[in-house]
Amino acid sequence: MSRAALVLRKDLLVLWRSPLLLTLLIVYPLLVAGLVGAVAGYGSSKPRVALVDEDHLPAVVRIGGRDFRIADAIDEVGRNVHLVRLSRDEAARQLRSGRVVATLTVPPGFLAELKSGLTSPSLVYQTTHGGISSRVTQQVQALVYSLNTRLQKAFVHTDLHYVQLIQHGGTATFGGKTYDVLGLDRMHDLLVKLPKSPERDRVAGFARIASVALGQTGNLLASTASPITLERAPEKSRSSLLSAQVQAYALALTITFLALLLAAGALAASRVGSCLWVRSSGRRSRWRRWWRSRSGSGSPSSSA
Amino acid sequence: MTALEPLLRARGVARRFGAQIALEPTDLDVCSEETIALIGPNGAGKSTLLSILAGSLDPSAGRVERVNGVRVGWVPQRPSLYDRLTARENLELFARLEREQRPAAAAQELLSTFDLPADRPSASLSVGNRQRLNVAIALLGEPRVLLLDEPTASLDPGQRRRLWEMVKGGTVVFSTQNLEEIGLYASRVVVLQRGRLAFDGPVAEYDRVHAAEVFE
Repeated sequence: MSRAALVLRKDLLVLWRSPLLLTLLIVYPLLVAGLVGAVAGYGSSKPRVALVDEDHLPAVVRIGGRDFRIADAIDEVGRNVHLVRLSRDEAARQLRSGRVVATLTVPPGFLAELKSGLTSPSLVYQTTHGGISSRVTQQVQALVYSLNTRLQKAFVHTDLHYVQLIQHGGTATFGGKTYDVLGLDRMHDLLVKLPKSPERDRVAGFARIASVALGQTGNLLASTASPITLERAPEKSRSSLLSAQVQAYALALTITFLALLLAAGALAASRVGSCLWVRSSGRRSRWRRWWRSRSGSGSPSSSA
Repeated sequence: MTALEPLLRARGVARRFGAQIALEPTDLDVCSEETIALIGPNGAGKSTLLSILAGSLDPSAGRVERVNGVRVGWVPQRPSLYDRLTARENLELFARLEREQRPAAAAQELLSTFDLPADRPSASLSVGNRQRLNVAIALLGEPRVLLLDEPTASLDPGQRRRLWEMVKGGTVVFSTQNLEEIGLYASRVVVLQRGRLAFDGPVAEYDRVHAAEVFE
């Protein structure tokens, strides 16, 4: 066994028999990692955002013939932001005190305006100037984007229904009354049964061309609503990035262990100074020179 | 080697600690079979001279020659032991560092010779046992010269006697404040005063009255 290994083995034995030092060696890194992790966890935790519902949105909203679950939309944004329902006054108070970082208000008449389709209703967003306000703003923008995407699909679906009604005909309900719509295709069929004339052929031709043109409307509407869509490709990589919190834990542990290694090295060097160095007795052997280089001048005592 | 053949030669060794002069340039020969008592009041430079002779302290000036690379055993004033290791573990550690061929056997032999409790942590040993272990470690590697810095300072008369029984007979340099040990064990006396060599001669030439003046 080399001399370095002997000294290392001795130090490990001494460490093993030093309960206080051993405890510190274990507890201290955990303590530091816990503190760093807590700070990192706070930094990456979900910020609280107040949801002020002044329009009293129902649990399920029917728009464009489709049902929307408001809770689902809130859950979606809640993956990154903790939404809490508050009254307007309470939300304002908590925003001032910093307990919430932003407020998202659904103003009165929001749903009626949305259902009318005549104008675009607005959600009112207010935030502080804190360090994470930009992150919250992004989350709220993502929420509005998500809602818009869903609504666009519903509106496109409704529009398409009307287009198909004009194209093929059928029954439709407006203002509580049911109507039988002839449609371009059926109009064309009726026209060709009429006595032949240039006027009839012209109208029939228009009906056929218009029907073909409307047949393309579905795709056009869909592409207009979402010119670009984002698809998430399935993950094939074996590795994945660690979360910021885990990285913080790992970093803290690494730094702490490095510090402890340095401390242990210093401790070993000082013990060398008190024992191995004093014992070296000038034999000028390799291990003595080695320890001398590690422990500096190492004078044992100035008393005489 | 003859009886007067020097094993250690110190020539002009001196030591400063900052502005303080601990030892002025000093010449000293340590010859085989000698037992040299190094005496002087506190602060005279005894430990400094012994540390320089042992090689654990570099002199500020001068040099120490080890004739034919003679091996030196060094017993510092305060026992240099690892408290959390047992006496056996301390001995085996230093035996391996001294490249003893059979470290376990060497440790066991010293444990028996010095009658030491083998498997108790050194911290729990009595003062006398710690000092004996301190001396035992110095004997590893079969040194030709043994340097002891006040080895009996904290021992009772019985422990002192037992300790001397174990180390006498070889070439020994020891510092002491106990003047009785000079007559009992020393063949030569070296007196240091304020870092200077004040006397160096055989015990027969040493005057107790003069010694008393040394410590005044």
